[in-house]
Amino acid sequence: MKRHLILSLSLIVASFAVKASPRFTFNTIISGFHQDALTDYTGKYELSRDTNLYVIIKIQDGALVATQSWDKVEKHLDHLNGDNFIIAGQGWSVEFVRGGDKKVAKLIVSAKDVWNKVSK
Amino acid sequence: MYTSLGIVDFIILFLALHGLVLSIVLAYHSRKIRSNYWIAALIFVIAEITLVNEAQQSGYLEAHTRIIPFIPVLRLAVGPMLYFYIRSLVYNKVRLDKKDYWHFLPLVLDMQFLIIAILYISGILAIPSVQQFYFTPAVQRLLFRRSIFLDNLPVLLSLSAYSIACLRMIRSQLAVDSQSAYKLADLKRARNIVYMIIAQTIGLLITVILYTYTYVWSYYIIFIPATIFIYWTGMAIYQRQSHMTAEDVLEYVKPIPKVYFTDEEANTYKSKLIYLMETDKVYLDPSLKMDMLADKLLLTERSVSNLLNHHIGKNFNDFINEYRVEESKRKLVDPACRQFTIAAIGLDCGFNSLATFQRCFKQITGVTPGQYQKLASDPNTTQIMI
Repeated sequence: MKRHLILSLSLIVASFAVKASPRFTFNTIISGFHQDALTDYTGKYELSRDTNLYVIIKIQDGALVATQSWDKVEKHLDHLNGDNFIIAGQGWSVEFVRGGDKKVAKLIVSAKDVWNKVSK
Repeated sequence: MYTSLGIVDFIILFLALHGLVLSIVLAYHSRKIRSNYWIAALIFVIAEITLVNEAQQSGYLEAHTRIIPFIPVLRLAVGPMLYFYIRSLVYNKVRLDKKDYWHFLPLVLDMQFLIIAILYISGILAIPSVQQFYFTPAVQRLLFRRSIFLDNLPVLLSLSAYSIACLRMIRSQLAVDSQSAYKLADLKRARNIVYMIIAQTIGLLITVILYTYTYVWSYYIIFIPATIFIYWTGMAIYQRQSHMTAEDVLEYVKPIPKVYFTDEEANTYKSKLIYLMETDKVYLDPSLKMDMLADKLLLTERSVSNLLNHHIGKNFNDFINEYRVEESKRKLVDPACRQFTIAAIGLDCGFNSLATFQRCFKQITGVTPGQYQKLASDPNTTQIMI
Protein backbone atom coordinates (compact mmCIF):
# COMPACT_ATOMS: atom_id res chain seq x y z
CA MET A 1 0.00 0.00 0.00
CA LYS A 2 2.79 2.38 1.04
CA ARG A 3 4.67 1.59 -2.15
CA HIS A 4 1.61 2.28 -4.28
CA LEU A 5 1.09 5.59 -2.52
CA ILE A 6 4.71 6.63 -3.04
CA LEU A 7 4.57 5.58 -6.70
CA SER A 8 1.33 7.49 -7.29
CA LEU A 9 2.69 10.60 -5.57
CA SER A 10 5.91 10.36 -7.60
CA LEU A 11 3.92 10.15 -10.82
CA ILE A 12 1.82 13.18 -9.86
CA VAL A 13 4.95 15.19 -8.94
CA ALA A 14 6.63 14.09 -12.17
CA SER A 15 3.64 15.10 -14.26
CA PHE A 16 3.62 18.55 -12.60
CA ALA A 17 7.35 18.82 -13.16
CA VAL A 18 6.96 18.04 -16.87
CA LYS A 19 4.20 20.62 -17.11
CA ALA A 20 6.48 23.13 -15.42
CA SER A 21 9.29 22.37 -17.86
CA PRO A 22 11.21 25.52 -18.87
CA ARG A 23 10.99 24.48 -22.50
CA PHE A 24 7.25 25.01 -22.52
CA THR A 25 6.33 27.69 -20.03
CA PHE A 26 8.88 28.50 -17.41
CA ASN A 27 11.13 30.75 -19.47
CA THR A 28 8.25 32.75 -20.80
CA ILE A 29 6.68 33.24 -17.39
CA ILE A 30 9.80 33.96 -15.38
CA SER A 31 11.92 35.96 -17.72
CA GLY A 32 9.62 37.07 -20.48
CA PHE A 33 11.86 35.25 -22.89
CA HIS A 34 10.76 35.18 -26.53
CA GLN A 35 11.94 33.13 -29.46
CA ASP A 36 12.76 36.31 -31.43
CA ALA A 37 15.32 37.23 -28.80
CA LEU A 38 17.32 34.13 -29.74
CA THR A 39 18.66 35.91 -32.82
CA ASP A 40 20.76 38.06 -30.46
CA TYR A 41 22.89 35.04 -29.69
CA THR A 42 23.46 33.65 -33.16
CA GLY A 43 26.81 34.09 -34.85
CA LYS A 44 30.41 32.89 -34.83
CA TYR A 45 32.36 32.75 -31.58
CA GLU A 46 36.13 32.17 -31.33
CA LEU A 47 37.88 30.72 -28.32
CA SER A 48 39.88 33.54 -26.75
CA ARG A 49 42.97 31.43 -26.04
CA ASP A 50 42.98 29.66 -29.43
CA THR A 51 41.27 31.53 -32.28
CA ASN A 52 41.53 28.47 -34.54
CA LEU A 53 38.70 26.98 -32.57
CA TYR A 54 35.28 28.42 -33.03
CA VAL A 55 31.60 27.58 -32.71
CA ILE A 56 28.73 28.73 -34.86
CA ILE A 57 25.49 29.32 -33.04
CA LYS A 58 22.29 29.22 -35.00
CA ILE A 59 18.59 28.70 -34.36
CA GLN A 60 17.23 25.27 -35.11
CA ASP A 61 13.62 24.28 -34.37
CA GLY A 62 13.19 27.33 -32.17
CA ALA A 63 16.23 26.63 -30.00
CA LEU A 64 19.91 27.50 -30.07
CA VAL A 65 22.37 25.00 -31.48
CA ALA A 66 26.16 25.40 -31.37
CA THR A 67 28.22 23.64 -34.02
CA GLN A 68 31.82 22.97 -33.03
CA SER A 69 34.36 23.72 -35.78
CA TRP A 70 36.79 20.93 -34.85
CA ASP A 71 34.41 17.97 -34.98
CA LYS A 72 31.17 19.42 -36.39
CA VAL A 73 29.29 18.12 -33.34
CA GLU A 74 26.11 20.03 -32.61
CA LYS A 75 25.33 20.96 -29.02
CA HIS A 76 21.84 22.06 -28.09
CA LEU A 77 21.51 24.94 -25.68
CA ASP A 78 18.66 24.88 -23.17
CA HIS A 79 17.54 28.27 -21.94
CA LEU A 80 17.29 29.06 -18.24
CA ASN A 81 16.58 32.78 -17.95
CA GLY A 82 18.07 36.05 -19.10
CA ASP A 83 21.24 35.32 -21.09
CA ASN A 84 21.93 32.04 -19.31
CA PHE A 85 21.75 28.62 -20.93
CA ILE A 86 23.07 25.14 -20.29
CA ILE A 87 24.34 22.54 -22.76
CA ALA A 88 21.55 19.97 -23.09
CA GLY A 89 22.34 16.75 -21.29
CA GLN A 90 25.83 17.79 -20.21
CA GLY A 91 24.75 20.69 -18.03
CA TRP A 92 27.73 23.00 -18.65
CA SER A 93 26.77 26.58 -17.97
CA VAL A 94 26.67 28.91 -20.99
CA GLU A 95 26.50 32.58 -20.18
CA PHE A 96 26.16 35.18 -22.94
CA VAL A 97 27.73 38.48 -21.99
CA ARG A 98 26.58 41.75 -23.53
CA GLY A 99 28.81 44.73 -24.28
CA GLY A 100 28.18 48.42 -23.65
CA ASP A 101 25.89 48.56 -26.68
CA LYS A 102 23.72 45.84 -25.14
CA LYS A 103 24.66 43.48 -27.93
CA VAL A 104 26.00 40.00 -27.20
CA ALA A 105 29.81 40.23 -27.21
CA LYS A 106 30.99 36.91 -25.85
CA LEU A 107 29.96 33.71 -24.18
CA ILE A 108 31.48 31.96 -21.20
CA VAL A 109 31.25 28.19 -20.99
CA SER A 110 31.42 26.41 -17.66
CA ALA A 111 32.51 29.65 -16.00
CA LYS A 112 35.94 29.29 -17.59
CA ASP A 113 36.26 29.26 -21.39
CA VAL A 114 35.63 32.63 -23.01
CA TRP A 115 34.43 32.71 -26.64
CA ASN A 116 34.40 36.12 -28.35
CA LYS A 117 31.74 36.87 -30.91
CA VAL A 118 33.43 37.68 -34.22
CA SER A 119 30.56 37.83 -36.68
CA LYS A 120 26.81 37.61 -36.88
CA MET B 1 31.01 13.38 -35.60
CA TYR B 2 31.65 9.68 -34.98
CA THR B 3 35.09 8.18 -34.49
CA SER B 4 35.80 4.91 -36.29
CA LEU B 5 36.18 2.05 -33.88
CA GLY B 6 39.15 -0.29 -34.30
CA ILE B 7 39.07 -4.06 -34.45
CA VAL B 8 39.84 -4.25 -30.72
CA ASP B 9 36.78 -2.13 -30.00
CA PHE B 10 34.66 -4.51 -32.05
CA ILE B 11 35.99 -7.48 -30.09
CA ILE B 12 35.24 -5.61 -26.83
CA LEU B 13 31.76 -4.77 -28.11
CA PHE B 14 31.12 -8.37 -29.12
CA LEU B 15 32.22 -9.69 -25.73
CA ALA B 16 30.26 -7.03 -23.85
CA LEU B 17 27.08 -7.78 -25.81
CA HIS B 18 27.69 -11.47 -25.23
CA GLY B 19 28.08 -10.74 -21.52
CA LEU B 20 24.82 -8.82 -21.53
CA VAL B 21 22.92 -11.73 -23.09
CA LEU B 22 24.72 -14.24 -20.87
CA SER B 23 23.79 -12.33 -17.73
CA ILE B 24 20.12 -12.45 -18.68
CA VAL B 25 20.28 -16.18 -19.50
CA LEU B 26 22.18 -16.87 -16.27
CA ALA B 27 19.65 -14.91 -14.20
CA TYR B 28 16.80 -16.79 -15.87
CA HIS B 29 18.37 -20.16 -15.00
CA SER B 30 19.38 -19.21 -11.46
CA ARG B 31 16.27 -20.34 -9.67
CA LYS B 32 18.03 -23.36 -8.20
CA ILE B 33 21.26 -21.67 -7.23
CA ARG B 34 20.20 -18.22 -6.20
CA SER B 35 23.69 -16.82 -5.60
CA ASN B 36 24.05 -16.86 -9.38
CA TYR B 37 21.59 -13.94 -9.54
CA TRP B 38 24.32 -11.78 -8.14
CA ILE B 39 27.03 -12.95 -10.52
CA ALA B 40 24.54 -12.42 -13.38
CA ALA B 41 23.95 -8.87 -12.08
CA LEU B 42 27.70 -8.28 -11.80
CA ILE B 43 28.26 -9.46 -15.39
CA PHE B 44 25.39 -7.24 -16.55
CA VAL B 45 26.85 -4.18 -14.84
CA ILE B 46 30.34 -4.73 -16.26
CA ALA B 47 28.87 -5.28 -19.75
CA GLU B 48 26.82 -2.07 -19.41
CA ILE B 49 29.85 -0.06 -18.28
CA THR B 50 31.81 -1.41 -21.26
CA LEU B 51 29.04 -0.58 -23.75
CA VAL B 52 28.68 2.96 -22.38
CA ASN B 53 32.44 3.44 -22.64
CA GLU B 54 32.37 2.30 -26.28
CA ALA B 55 29.46 4.65 -26.99
CA GLN B 56 31.54 7.44 -25.51
CA GLN B 57 34.70 6.53 -27.43
CA SER B 58 32.81 6.32 -30.72
CA GLY B 59 31.50 9.88 -30.23
CA TYR B 60 27.90 8.73 -30.11
CA LEU B 61 27.23 10.29 -26.70
CA GLU B 62 29.00 13.50 -27.72
CA ALA B 63 26.63 13.80 -30.65
CA HIS B 64 23.53 12.88 -28.62
CA THR B 65 24.05 14.71 -25.37
CA ARG B 66 20.36 14.70 -24.49
CA ILE B 67 20.47 10.98 -23.66
CA ILE B 68 23.46 11.32 -21.30
CA PRO B 69 21.39 11.96 -18.13
CA PHE B 70 19.36 8.83 -18.72
CA ILE B 71 22.28 6.42 -19.08
CA PRO B 72 22.94 4.70 -15.75
CA VAL B 73 26.53 5.09 -14.57
CA LEU B 74 27.07 1.89 -12.62
CA ARG B 75 30.81 1.81 -11.94
CA LEU B 76 30.22 2.28 -8.19
CA ALA B 77 27.87 -0.71 -8.18
CA VAL B 78 30.63 -3.19 -9.09
CA GLY B 79 32.09 -3.31 -5.57
CA PRO B 80 28.78 -3.87 -3.73
CA MET B 81 27.62 -6.43 -6.29
CA LEU B 82 30.84 -8.38 -5.94
CA TYR B 83 30.39 -8.25 -2.16
CA PHE B 84 26.79 -9.44 -2.29
CA TYR B 85 27.73 -12.23 -4.70
CA ILE B 86 30.44 -13.49 -2.38
CA ARG B 87 28.12 -13.12 0.62
CA SER B 88 25.37 -15.07 -1.11
CA LEU B 89 27.88 -17.76 -2.00
CA VAL B 90 29.38 -17.98 1.47
CA TYR B 91 26.29 -17.52 3.65
CA ASN B 92 23.51 -18.41 1.16
CA LYS B 93 22.07 -14.95 1.85
CA VAL B 94 20.68 -13.72 -1.45
CA ARG B 95 18.13 -11.10 -0.41
CA LEU B 96 19.19 -7.67 0.72
CA ASP B 97 18.29 -6.24 4.13
CA LYS B 98 17.24 -2.61 4.43
CA LYS B 99 20.69 -1.54 5.58
CA ASP B 100 22.29 -3.36 2.63
CA TYR B 101 20.82 -0.80 0.24
CA TRP B 102 23.15 1.80 1.75
CA HIS B 103 25.98 0.08 -0.12
CA PHE B 104 24.50 1.55 -3.31
CA LEU B 105 24.32 5.11 -1.98
CA PRO B 106 27.66 6.14 -3.59
CA LEU B 107 25.97 5.68 -6.98
CA VAL B 108 24.49 9.13 -6.36
CA LEU B 109 27.98 10.54 -6.98
CA ASP B 110 27.68 9.50 -10.62
CA MET B 111 24.16 10.84 -11.07
CA GLN B 112 25.15 14.45 -11.62
CA PHE B 113 23.80 14.62 -15.18
CA LEU B 114 20.49 13.09 -14.12
CA ILE B 115 20.21 15.47 -11.16
CA ILE B 116 20.99 18.46 -13.39
CA ALA B 117 18.38 17.29 -15.91
CA ILE B 118 15.79 16.93 -13.13
CA LEU B 119 16.68 20.41 -11.82
CA TYR B 120 16.28 21.79 -15.33
CA ILE B 121 13.04 19.99 -16.18
CA SER B 122 11.48 20.88 -12.83
CA GLY B 123 12.40 24.53 -13.36
CA ILE B 124 14.50 24.70 -10.17
CA LEU B 125 17.60 25.62 -12.19
CA ALA B 126 15.77 28.65 -13.59
CA ILE B 127 15.35 30.12 -10.10
CA PRO B 128 17.80 33.07 -10.09
CA SER B 129 19.52 32.27 -6.78
CA VAL B 130 19.97 28.60 -7.72
CA GLN B 131 21.20 29.58 -11.15
CA GLN B 132 23.65 32.11 -9.76
CA PHE B 133 25.10 29.44 -7.51
CA TYR B 134 25.18 26.90 -10.34
CA PHE B 135 27.05 29.31 -12.64
CA THR B 136 29.82 30.00 -10.12
CA PRO B 137 33.29 28.78 -11.19
CA ALA B 138 33.62 26.62 -8.07
CA VAL B 139 30.42 24.66 -8.77
CA GLN B 140 31.22 24.30 -12.47
CA ARG B 141 34.74 23.11 -11.65
CA LEU B 142 33.41 20.61 -9.13
CA LEU B 143 30.81 19.27 -11.54
CA PHE B 144 32.63 19.29 -14.87
CA ARG B 145 36.32 19.98 -14.48
CA ARG B 146 37.35 17.57 -11.76
CA SER B 147 40.78 16.06 -12.18
CA ILE B 148 40.74 12.57 -13.64
CA PHE B 149 42.21 11.28 -10.39
CA LEU B 150 39.49 12.85 -8.23
CA ASP B 151 36.85 11.58 -10.62
CA ASN B 152 38.06 8.00 -10.30
CA LEU B 153 39.00 8.09 -6.63
CA PRO B 154 35.60 6.82 -5.36
CA VAL B 155 35.80 3.87 -7.77
CA LEU B 156 39.34 3.01 -6.73
CA LEU B 157 38.43 3.18 -3.05
CA SER B 158 35.19 1.26 -3.51
CA LEU B 159 36.79 -1.58 -5.49
CA SER B 160 39.72 -1.85 -3.08
CA ALA B 161 37.55 -1.91 0.05
CA TYR B 162 35.04 -4.42 -1.29
CA SER B 163 37.77 -6.67 -2.72
CA ILE B 164 39.48 -6.88 0.66
CA ALA B 165 36.17 -7.61 2.43
CA CYS B 166 35.38 -10.32 -0.15
CA LEU B 167 38.78 -11.96 0.17
CA ARG B 168 38.37 -12.13 3.94
CA MET B 169 34.98 -13.78 3.57
CA ILE B 170 36.25 -16.32 1.05
CA ARG B 171 39.32 -17.18 3.10
CA SER B 172 37.28 -17.85 6.23
CA GLN B 173 34.90 -20.06 4.25
CA LEU B 174 37.60 -22.01 2.44
CA ALA B 175 38.74 -23.19 5.87
CA VAL B 176 35.46 -25.10 6.32
CA ASP B 177 35.70 -28.74 5.26
CA SER B 178 32.03 -29.74 5.16
CA GLN B 179 30.90 -28.34 1.84
CA SER B 180 30.10 -29.66 -1.59
CA ALA B 181 32.78 -29.94 -4.24
CA TYR B 182 30.77 -27.57 -6.43
CA LYS B 183 30.59 -24.97 -3.65
CA LEU B 184 34.32 -25.31 -3.08
CA ALA B 185 34.95 -24.85 -6.81
CA ASP B 186 32.70 -21.78 -6.81
CA LEU B 187 34.52 -20.32 -3.83
CA LYS B 188 37.83 -20.77 -5.63
CA ARG B 189 36.34 -19.20 -8.75
CA ALA B 190 34.99 -16.35 -6.62
CA ARG B 191 38.48 -15.85 -5.25
CA ASN B 192 39.79 -15.61 -8.81
CA ILE B 193 37.04 -13.10 -9.61
CA VAL B 194 38.16 -10.97 -6.68
CA TYR B 195 41.78 -11.22 -7.83
CA MET B 196 40.57 -10.14 -11.27
CA ILE B 197 38.77 -7.14 -9.80
CA ILE B 198 41.93 -6.22 -7.87
CA ALA B 199 43.88 -6.42 -11.14
CA GLN B 200 41.23 -4.22 -12.78
CA THR B 201 41.57 -1.69 -9.96
CA ILE B 202 45.31 -1.58 -10.52
CA GLY B 203 44.64 -1.28 -14.28
CA LEU B 204 42.35 1.69 -13.63
CA LEU B 205 44.97 3.32 -11.43
CA ILE B 206 47.60 2.87 -14.18
CA THR B 207 45.18 4.34 -16.75
CA VAL B 208 44.51 7.34 -14.53
CA ILE B 209 48.23 7.92 -13.95
CA LEU B 210 48.95 7.55 -17.70
CA TYR B 211 46.20 10.05 -18.50
CA THR B 212 47.54 12.51 -15.97
CA TYR B 213 50.92 12.57 -17.74
CA THR B 214 50.08 11.84 -21.38
CA TYR B 215 46.41 12.90 -21.76
CA VAL B 216 45.75 9.54 -23.41
CA TRP B 217 42.87 7.52 -21.98
CA SER B 218 44.09 3.94 -22.48
CA TYR B 219 40.80 2.27 -21.78
CA TYR B 220 41.88 -1.00 -23.42
CA ILE B 221 43.87 -1.80 -20.25
CA ILE B 222 40.59 -1.97 -18.36
CA PHE B 223 38.03 -3.15 -20.86
CA ILE B 224 39.85 -5.97 -22.69
CA PRO B 225 40.42 -7.95 -19.45
CA ALA B 226 36.96 -6.94 -18.18
CA THR B 227 35.11 -8.32 -21.18
CA ILE B 228 37.21 -11.48 -21.36
CA PHE B 229 36.55 -11.90 -17.64
CA ILE B 230 32.77 -11.65 -17.95
CA TYR B 231 32.78 -14.00 -20.93
CA TRP B 232 34.88 -16.61 -19.13
CA THR B 233 33.03 -16.33 -15.81
CA GLY B 234 29.56 -16.31 -17.32
CA MET B 235 30.23 -19.29 -19.57
CA ALA B 236 31.94 -21.30 -16.83
CA ILE B 237 29.12 -20.76 -14.34
CA TYR B 238 26.39 -21.39 -16.90
CA GLN B 239 27.99 -24.63 -18.12
CA ARG B 240 28.70 -25.84 -14.61
CA GLN B 241 25.13 -25.17 -13.53
CA SER B 242 23.70 -27.12 -16.43
CA HIS B 243 25.77 -30.19 -15.46
CA MET B 244 24.60 -30.26 -11.85
CA THR B 245 22.14 -32.96 -10.77
CA ALA B 246 19.30 -32.37 -8.27
CA GLU B 247 21.45 -33.94 -5.50
CA ASP B 248 24.34 -31.66 -6.36
CA VAL B 249 22.06 -28.64 -6.07
CA LEU B 250 20.73 -29.82 -2.68
CA GLU B 251 24.27 -30.37 -1.42
CA TYR B 252 25.26 -26.99 -2.81
CA VAL B 253 22.53 -24.97 -1.12
CA LYS B 254 22.82 -26.76 2.23
CA PRO B 255 23.44 -24.18 4.97
CA ILE B 256 26.97 -24.08 6.25
CA PRO B 257 27.86 -22.99 9.78
CA LYS B 258 29.18 -19.50 9.69
CA VAL B 259 32.90 -19.18 10.24
CA TYR B 260 33.94 -15.91 11.81
CA PHE B 261 37.63 -16.53 12.29
CA THR B 262 40.44 -18.55 10.84
CA ASP B 263 42.56 -20.31 13.46
CA GLU B 264 45.15 -17.60 13.11
CA GLU B 265 42.61 -14.80 13.60
CA ALA B 266 41.03 -16.62 16.52
CA ASN B 267 44.41 -16.87 18.27
CA THR B 268 45.03 -13.17 17.72
CA TYR B 269 41.66 -12.17 19.18
CA LYS B 270 42.04 -14.66 22.03
CA SER B 271 45.29 -12.96 22.99
CA LYS B 272 43.60 -9.55 22.83
CA LEU B 273 40.73 -10.79 24.96
CA ILE B 274 43.05 -12.28 27.57
CA TYR B 275 45.01 -9.02 27.62
CA LEU B 276 41.76 -7.13 28.28
CA MET B 277 40.97 -9.49 31.14
CA GLU B 278 44.35 -9.81 32.79
CA THR B 279 45.82 -6.37 32.22
CA ASP B 280 42.86 -4.01 31.88
CA LYS B 281 40.71 -6.14 34.23
CA VAL B 282 37.52 -5.16 32.39
CA TYR B 283 35.61 -7.85 34.31
CA LEU B 284 35.72 -5.62 37.42
CA ASP B 285 33.08 -3.43 35.76
CA PRO B 286 29.69 -4.81 36.98
CA SER B 287 27.95 -3.34 33.91
CA LEU B 288 30.24 -5.19 31.48
CA LYS B 289 28.21 -6.57 28.57
CA MET B 290 29.02 -8.40 25.38
CA ASP B 291 28.66 -5.23 23.27
CA MET B 292 31.24 -3.38 25.40
CA LEU B 293 33.70 -6.21 24.99
CA ALA B 294 32.96 -6.28 21.24
CA ASP B 295 33.66 -2.53 21.02
CA LYS B 296 36.98 -2.95 22.77
CA LEU B 297 37.98 -5.75 20.38
CA LEU B 298 36.59 -3.89 17.34
CA LEU B 299 34.38 -6.89 16.56
CA THR B 300 30.66 -7.49 16.30
CA GLU B 301 28.78 -9.05 19.21
CA ARG B 302 28.20 -12.18 17.13
CA SER B 303 31.90 -12.48 16.42
CA VAL B 304 32.77 -12.22 20.12
CA SER B 305 30.12 -14.78 20.94
CA ASN B 306 31.55 -17.07 18.26
CA LEU B 307 35.09 -16.54 19.59
CA LEU B 308 34.03 -17.46 23.12
CA ASN B 309 31.85 -20.41 22.20
CA HIS B 310 33.89 -22.00 19.45
CA HIS B 311 37.46 -21.04 20.21
CA ILE B 312 37.49 -20.68 23.99
CA GLY B 313 34.69 -23.12 24.79
CA LYS B 314 32.76 -20.93 27.26
CA ASN B 315 29.81 -18.63 27.10
CA PHE B 316 30.16 -14.94 27.95
CA ASN B 317 28.91 -15.16 31.54
CA ASP B 318 31.01 -18.19 32.45
CA PHE B 319 34.10 -16.60 30.91
CA ILE B 320 33.72 -13.31 32.79
CA ASN B 321 32.62 -14.89 36.08
CA GLU B 322 35.67 -17.17 36.19
CA TYR B 323 37.89 -14.10 36.20
CA ARG B 324 35.71 -12.46 38.85
CA VAL B 325 35.86 -15.57 41.07
CA GLU B 326 39.66 -15.77 40.68
CA GLU B 327 39.92 -12.14 41.71
CA SER B 328 37.60 -12.68 44.70
CA LYS B 329 39.62 -15.74 45.78
CA ARG B 330 42.69 -13.54 45.98
CA LYS B 331 40.87 -10.88 47.95
CA LEU B 332 39.19 -13.32 50.35
CA VAL B 333 42.57 -14.52 51.58
CA ASP B 334 44.33 -11.18 51.30
CA PRO B 335 45.04 -9.78 54.81
CA ALA B 336 44.67 -6.28 53.44
CA CYS B 337 41.02 -7.03 52.62
CA ARG B 338 40.20 -8.55 55.97
CA GLN B 339 38.09 -5.58 57.05
CA PHE B 340 35.74 -6.02 54.03
CA THR B 341 32.60 -8.14 54.10
CA ILE B 342 32.10 -10.98 51.63
CA ALA B 343 29.42 -8.94 49.87
CA ALA B 344 31.78 -5.99 49.48
CA ILE B 345 34.47 -8.24 48.00
CA GLY B 346 31.95 -9.73 45.59
CA LEU B 347 30.79 -6.33 44.44
CA ASP B 348 34.35 -5.11 44.22
CA CYS B 349 35.18 -8.00 41.89
CA GLY B 350 32.40 -7.10 39.45
CA PHE B 351 29.43 -9.12 40.71
CA ASN B 352 26.11 -7.33 40.74
CA SER B 353 24.80 -8.89 43.96
CA LEU B 354 25.81 -11.13 46.83
CA ALA B 355 23.48 -13.87 45.61
CA THR B 356 25.13 -13.98 42.19
CA PHE B 357 28.56 -13.94 43.79
CA GLN B 358 27.68 -16.83 46.11
CA ARG B 359 26.14 -18.88 43.32
CA CYS B 360 28.96 -18.36 40.83
CA PHE B 361 31.64 -18.90 43.46
CA LYS B 362 30.13 -22.21 44.55
CA GLN B 363 29.61 -23.30 40.97
CA ILE B 364 33.27 -22.78 40.13
CA THR B 365 35.06 -23.66 43.37
CA GLY B 366 32.58 -26.05 44.98
CA VAL B 367 32.43 -24.03 48.23
CA THR B 368 30.83 -20.75 49.24
CA PRO B 369 33.01 -17.63 49.65
CA GLY B 370 32.57 -17.83 53.44
CA GLN B 371 33.70 -21.47 53.53
CA TYR B 372 36.60 -20.64 51.28
CA GLN B 373 37.73 -17.83 53.56
CA LYS B 374 37.38 -20.05 56.62
CA LEU B 375 39.35 -22.87 55.03
CA ALA B 376 42.07 -20.47 53.99
CA SER B 377 42.40 -18.90 57.43
CA ASP B 378 42.24 -22.19 59.42
CA PRO B 379 45.84 -23.43 59.88
CA ASN B 380 44.63 -26.90 60.90
CA THR B 381 42.68 -27.59 57.73
CA THR B 382 43.83 -30.50 55.63
CA GLN B 383 41.57 -29.70 52.68
CA ILE B 384 43.48 -28.58 49.66
CA MET B 385 42.62 -25.08 48.59
CA ILE B 386 40.78 -25.08 45.33
